[in-house]
Amino acid sequence: MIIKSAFCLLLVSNFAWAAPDVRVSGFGTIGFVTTDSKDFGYRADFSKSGGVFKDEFDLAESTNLGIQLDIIASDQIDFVFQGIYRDQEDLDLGSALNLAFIRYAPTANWSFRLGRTAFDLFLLTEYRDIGYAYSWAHVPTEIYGVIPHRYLDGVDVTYSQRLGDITFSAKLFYGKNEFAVTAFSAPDAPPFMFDNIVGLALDFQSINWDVALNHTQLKFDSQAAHPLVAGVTQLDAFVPNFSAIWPNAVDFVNAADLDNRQGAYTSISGQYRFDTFTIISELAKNKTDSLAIQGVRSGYVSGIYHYNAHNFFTSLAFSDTEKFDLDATGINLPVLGQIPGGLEAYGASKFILNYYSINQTTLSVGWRWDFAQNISFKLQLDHTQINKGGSTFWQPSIENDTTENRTGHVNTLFANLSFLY
Amino acid sequence: MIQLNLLKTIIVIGALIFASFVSSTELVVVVNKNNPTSILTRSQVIDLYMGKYIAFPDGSKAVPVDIEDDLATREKFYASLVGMPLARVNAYWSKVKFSGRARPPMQQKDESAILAFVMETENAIAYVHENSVTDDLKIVYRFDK
Repeated sequence: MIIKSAFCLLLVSNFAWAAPDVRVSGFGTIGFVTTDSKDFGYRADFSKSGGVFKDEFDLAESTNLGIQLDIIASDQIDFVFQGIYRDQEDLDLGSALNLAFIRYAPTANWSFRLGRTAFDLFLLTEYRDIGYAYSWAHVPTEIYGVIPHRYLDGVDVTYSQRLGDITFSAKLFYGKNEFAVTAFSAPDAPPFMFDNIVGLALDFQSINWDVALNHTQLKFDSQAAHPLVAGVTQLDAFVPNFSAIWPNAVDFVNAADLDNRQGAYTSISGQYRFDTFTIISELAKNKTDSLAIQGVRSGYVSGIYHYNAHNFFTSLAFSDTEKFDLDATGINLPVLGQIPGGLEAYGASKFILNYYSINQTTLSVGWRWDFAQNISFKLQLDHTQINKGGSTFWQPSIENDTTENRTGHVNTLFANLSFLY
Repeated sequence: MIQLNLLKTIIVIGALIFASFVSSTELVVVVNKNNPTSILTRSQVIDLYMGKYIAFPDGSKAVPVDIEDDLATREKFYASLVGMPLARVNAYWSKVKFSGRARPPMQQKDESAILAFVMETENAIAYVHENSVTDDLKIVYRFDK
């Protein structure tokens, strides 16, 4: 609806302003990935149903192509449309359209946007698909892999001001979005919706350093756990003495339901630029009131050495997810197994509890070579240690394998050609 | 015929000397003479050219201008201003532009087009070689030597 409004305003604007300035530009990445693991299949983020295993050479995970149309109607009003192809699960206009908004900027201090804008959840979320924009071959998986949502359908207002030698901006945004999410090598990736998204992004920038604070609250819109809630409620109602077999089962599944539950996402990030060296870091925290998406603490620190057209970097990233131990709740599994549907309900509970479990540490080294002004080549090697069963980011080799406590390590090699046009 | 060739040679050499003189002069940042801005700091010029705060100190919107065809001049300007090669400046702008935050400076083909544009646009700001500055323009920033 909001995007349609933006289109209508565009049509109206054609009558209001003669000969708008139209600019076409774009970006893309041709990305190659391979790994050394038979057990942990690499994927770019949680929207990807595929996985890259040992001896496989993949182009789909990291490759994308984008085109942007800027229509400048006046010095106060402009329109931006951006489409991206990135091997979407379901490629249609809705999934390909990444930006579609009208901006009204009456003064240099104030800017209002309506339509589909980039989701300003964390530091890099807005430009995670613009490979040319950052030194690495990919944004850190530990923060960005879990939340594939790219855009926001809604409104935002930004206030910018210079404070001495510091430039300050504050953006308040409201809206909703959805994006495909999948795990456990399931063949499909159903949409996961965020409603009532309210976020605040604060930026402080000086000549040498930037600091950003982001905080977003939202409501989950998902019926994924409803069959489990209904099933366990029925077991509790019809199986005699069920509470002795699975104590507090109904309370547990209700706590694991996602629908209409709140989530809060916070990050603090910064970078400092020396003459030939840049250091960048971000710490993020996700907290929800559903057991299905438990608290995640994640972060990274990266150092980049600039030498003419070459940039050499190393990064350390981590992600630590809280775990709810279902087996410590006193479930009598042998007896539960004799109840029709009992083990299925237990398995579905484990599935939901592990869905967003990501515990890992990645050490990366890499090289970016800007061999032309708009083309760069990147080579990056990641060594990832997966801990405490937090392996959901990595696809299992068997479809719908929800085996718990997969631990181990995997080396992933990326070679990207990123460009602007 | 020999005199004609000699004349051509003198003209070519003269043009080369002139071009060398022009390119050797320092870059300065200029605005229209009617613009109330009289001086800018490096931080303010960075804000204008990196899309952080695209306004003059009095709060009025600015229109920064880049040179399109003269890459050497553009490279020199950004190296002096932010200490980055053009590839890194382009990388910076790709994240600002393709995230929908701001638009990069408009481009004019060459220095004469820039001079003409600034002379007719009160809120324009541009970088040009100092020896090209006319009475219709005002220098608001000089790079430290």
